[in-house]
Amino acid sequence: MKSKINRRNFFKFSAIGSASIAAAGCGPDPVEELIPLLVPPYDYVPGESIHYATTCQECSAACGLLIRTREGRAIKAEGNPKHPLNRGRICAQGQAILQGLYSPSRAVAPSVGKNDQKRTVLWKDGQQKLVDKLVAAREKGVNQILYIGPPRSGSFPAMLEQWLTHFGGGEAIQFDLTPVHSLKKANQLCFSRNEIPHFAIDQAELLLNFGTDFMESWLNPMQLTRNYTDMHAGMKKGKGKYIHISPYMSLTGSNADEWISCPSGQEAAIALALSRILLPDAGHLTAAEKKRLKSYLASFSTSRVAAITGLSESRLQTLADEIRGSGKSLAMAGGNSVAGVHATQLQLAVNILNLVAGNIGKTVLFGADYRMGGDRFDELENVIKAMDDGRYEVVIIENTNPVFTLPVGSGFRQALDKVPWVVSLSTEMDETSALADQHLPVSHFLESWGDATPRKGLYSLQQPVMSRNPKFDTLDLGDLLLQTAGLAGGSPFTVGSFQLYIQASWQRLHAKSGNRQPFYQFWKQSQQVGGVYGDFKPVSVTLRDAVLSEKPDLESPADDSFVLLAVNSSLHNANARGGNKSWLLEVPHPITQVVWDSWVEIHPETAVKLGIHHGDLVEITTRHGSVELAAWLFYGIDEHTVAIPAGLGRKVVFPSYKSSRGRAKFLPVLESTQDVKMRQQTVGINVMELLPWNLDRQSGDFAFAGESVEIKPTGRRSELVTMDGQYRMDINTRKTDDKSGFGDRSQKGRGLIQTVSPDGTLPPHEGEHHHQLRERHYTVERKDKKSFYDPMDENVSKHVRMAGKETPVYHDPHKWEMTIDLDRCIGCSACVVACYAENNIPLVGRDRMAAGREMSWIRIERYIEHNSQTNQPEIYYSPEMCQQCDNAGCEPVCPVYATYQTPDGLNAMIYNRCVGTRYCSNNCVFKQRKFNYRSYEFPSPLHMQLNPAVSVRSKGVMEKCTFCQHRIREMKDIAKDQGRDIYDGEIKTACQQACPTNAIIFGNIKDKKSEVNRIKSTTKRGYTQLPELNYQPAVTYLKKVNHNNRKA
Amino acid sequence: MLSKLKKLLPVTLLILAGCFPAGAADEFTQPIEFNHKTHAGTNQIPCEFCHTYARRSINSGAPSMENCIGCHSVVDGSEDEQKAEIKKVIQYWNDRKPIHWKKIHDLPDFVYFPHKRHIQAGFDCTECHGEINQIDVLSMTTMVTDLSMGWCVQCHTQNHPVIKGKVAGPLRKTRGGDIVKKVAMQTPDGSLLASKDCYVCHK
Repeated sequence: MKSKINRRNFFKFSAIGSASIAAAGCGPDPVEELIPLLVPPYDYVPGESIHYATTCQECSAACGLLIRTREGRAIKAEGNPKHPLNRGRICAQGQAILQGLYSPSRAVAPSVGKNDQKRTVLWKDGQQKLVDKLVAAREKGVNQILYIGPPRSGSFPAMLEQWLTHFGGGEAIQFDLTPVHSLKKANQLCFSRNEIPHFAIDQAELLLNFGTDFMESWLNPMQLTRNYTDMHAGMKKGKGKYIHISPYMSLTGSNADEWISCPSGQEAAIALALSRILLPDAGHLTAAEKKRLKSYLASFSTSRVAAITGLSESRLQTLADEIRGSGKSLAMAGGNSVAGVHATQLQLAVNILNLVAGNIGKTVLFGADYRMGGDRFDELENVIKAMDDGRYEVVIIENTNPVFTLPVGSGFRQALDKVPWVVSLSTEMDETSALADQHLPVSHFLESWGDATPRKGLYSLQQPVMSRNPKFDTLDLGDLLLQTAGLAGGSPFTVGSFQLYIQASWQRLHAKSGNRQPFYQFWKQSQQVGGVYGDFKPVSVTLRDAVLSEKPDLESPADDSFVLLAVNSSLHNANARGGNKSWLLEVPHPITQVVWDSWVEIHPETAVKLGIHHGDLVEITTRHGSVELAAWLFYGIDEHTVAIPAGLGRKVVFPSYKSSRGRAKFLPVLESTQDVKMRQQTVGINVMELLPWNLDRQSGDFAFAGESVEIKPTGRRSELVTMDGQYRMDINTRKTDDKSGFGDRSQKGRGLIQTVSPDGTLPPHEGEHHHQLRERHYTVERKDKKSFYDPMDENVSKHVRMAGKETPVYHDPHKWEMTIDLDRCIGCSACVVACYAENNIPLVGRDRMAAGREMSWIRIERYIEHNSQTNQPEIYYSPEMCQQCDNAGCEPVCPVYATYQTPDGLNAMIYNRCVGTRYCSNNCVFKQRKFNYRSYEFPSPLHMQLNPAVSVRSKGVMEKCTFCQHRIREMKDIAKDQGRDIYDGEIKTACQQACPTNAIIFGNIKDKKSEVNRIKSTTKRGYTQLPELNYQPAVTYLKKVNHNNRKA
Repeated sequence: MLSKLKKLLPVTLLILAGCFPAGAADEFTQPIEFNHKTHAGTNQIPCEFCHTYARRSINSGAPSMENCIGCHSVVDGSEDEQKAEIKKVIQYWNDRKPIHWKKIHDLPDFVYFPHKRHIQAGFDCTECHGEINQIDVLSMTTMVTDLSMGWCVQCHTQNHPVIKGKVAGPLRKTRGGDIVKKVAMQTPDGSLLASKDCYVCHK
């Protein structure tokens, strides 16, 4: 026989060979175990979720949480509807706390030693070591201990002080980078109230926002956003107006009705110029006050201010007219983009503006005393100097990361080196614990007791929602402190555990509040409801004369150098807690849609002058460092300013989702299976490395804005990954001279987002072409109105007869529909993170996102439309998810009937039936069907967060939004158990539940009294996306309402 | 060509053998040889005494260790094998370790099967699990059904819930009946059927 095999036989044999190899993949299901409990808790039912109320500690806002637990595991963070601040909503960072609880980087045991010398020790040894050091410090002298922790209101600070006193006294610093002190100091100077007031945005009709990112990370974003929605989208008393004044647009500013750009540092001048114009009409001020204010504001003439800020005189006048014309206005200032070395001056200017406009006591209410933010940074400066001088024997750093979040110029790292014994108490080993002599892992706040008083009269309880994971040998922080005090002998505490301490504290609260219930009942109720939610009494204030004696100085206009802003977003803030949380890295940033990276925002005209093209790698240099970053060009920033997001660039070990696709040597088109690895990696850059240690000397706030930078193109392209799908270089843009490469990021006539003015008029035509936001350009006039299913009519009639009915009964009694109010959606992406958490959506990592393989079931689509009348770019957001079309294009093409229309009106997806044809995804015009190209991994212990009510999908199946079908079923189950029908509003999809503005409404359209039905039948703003395709989506969008058909 | 096939055969057989690993047809052994006939049969312990959550939850629940030790702290057993097994139970309790039972009636993870709905509809445990009080030790071979989707769907489309010998339906004009009428399928004579919708069971 010839040794050569002929072609026919070769194919025969390889077919047999591959068939047998394929067959070898099957096998029996692994045997599952049935593990009973030892002693089941009285009210525990496996298979049902139990919700526990607690308080969030991710930032200092202390929102109320309801954590859904299954079988003793926390699986979802939901907002507490009874909590007056966040009212049932939780932000994207709050959703991601579960990734902190189940972080693969969590410390499992105490350790001793710095950096590479770390070795694990037993708890009793670690604790004893700490006690020995503390006792030695006490013997050395007084005030030998420094405790740096996160900001906490409530019972903990008092306990900490007692604890420190027991060990000879010490300093306790609350460390938080949020720049609230300029606000507090200005209020102290103006009104003798060193507090954060209540901003009643919902009462205002005009909001002037000098740079605060109140929809993202400023103060309590949930509360402020909700109040803003009541003003801006609530149509009852007319639509409010929001003007954003800042060098950096930010997500918050992109939702404004108008964005006024001004050079960094010049915002105060605008506020004072406005005050000066409004002063004559301020009838509520006394003549004496008016006189003093007049001389105070004398130098802020419109001409002078116009020259400095670039804002025209007429614009200043019309702004003042708008303030005068609106019933109640509100001016706010703050946030990173205006936190420069003169931040207090800006806050003073805004206070004056509020005073002159008559807002004090109406929309700015004192007496609330919000406890947010940490201690002043000039105090921190003194403490660092004291550390450097060897003042402290023991430094304890708890749940904060100053080594990472402070700039090098602070001297913190060098000072820490000089301290004999540094103790780190945290849930994860971070950059600070690497430098500590000892690390004791403390329990996550979801596993611990505590409480908070975010505002006067509001007491929020924090209780453990699950016991700590036995694999993580951690101790509740409060218990740790109590135990060390006991071990040292002569403990001042009479309680055995921190739970009892909190209870004792609440006993005092109970007594003080005059509550008539026995304490046990009061305590149980507080645990159930989440706390005691009282109100505050507004306090009237008067202007301090002394504040007007020092005339404000107009800052000299900046030279031609560029100014750097280190900005927060809804996903990350400067405290850098989210830098290693994969959800927050994978969800695209709302404006730039960048994932897994940092970027620098530069104005396109500036970029053209510097020779930078969009997406180029640029070198950003300050006095303190230099980094190479991708340039993201954007009109939403002042021409002399650049912005870099804060909170990224962590250097810890966390799961890396790098793909080997295309890079492996042997089989470059395949990917290796094991590719989620725990790796020391850095995503993005730490912007704090570029900043100097610069403080606003008046208030002690850290200056995030104002450092001058040099920008140089490197000549290389970056590997920036954005999910900005509609950016196409080959489509002609309106700006034919677009040298920057910014391109056309508009909807290109697809009419997905439509707008209308408050009186109902549509955006105007432009010459021959319709305005893009008015309707679709490419509306196809269908000659016949036939639907896909028309030929099936006979089929339907036949089945109707067979069922013994007379007419077809569709969707009885439920048909699930949703309305999304685009006027309310701010693009914060809390819904996206909530969906990831609820539906076990896998993470794919940056390489695969570059290939378009993201798995999100809901995305925030961001379009930048150019308004040719105002010549301004306008930014619009639209949440896109599976529209559950009645006439879906994906259903008829599935060869195996894995996707079909349920009697409920949903488009069902049966995973185990799917064979992976992907024809359905091809037909989906909204492109919201996601295919599992791999079996994605959930690195332990993140798998504990998985929701048991939702299948975890493996390779080869299609998945998509199901309108939280498992929640629909859960609530129908409960209703059926109780023998009743479902109430409207009982079923909340995850996205609806997270949304701070209540943009998403979900319900049963067949229920005449449901909210969805009410909106759909009464609104004039309703439309569906891509209507001419006759897909009949179940999601109705409500048009965005723009004042005078213009926006930002 | 046949010689070439012969050369491939051993390889193919080896690979195909991978489809049927040795352990598949084997029985696994439970950590304790629990005898249902003794407990549910002779001693007439009702099913829900141990499987407490059957009426309340999607899972029926395995008996907690507290449940077992409740009797076995005093019940020693009559035969030697019984005594040995009961000693093991007490040892588990003293060690504070739960018993890792091997699940026999196991449905895939993508299936949502609520026990409570079926129990509340009036079905008896024996309909799906068989006469357990007559079976000594449960295993894969003593199962009365293969728990395939076809078997479930057959009941959903053909069989009616029967309570105490009476077929459920027609629905009466009560508040509960109203609800059930809206959501359940009914045959023309008014008897109830369960839903055939895929999304009811597939999650």
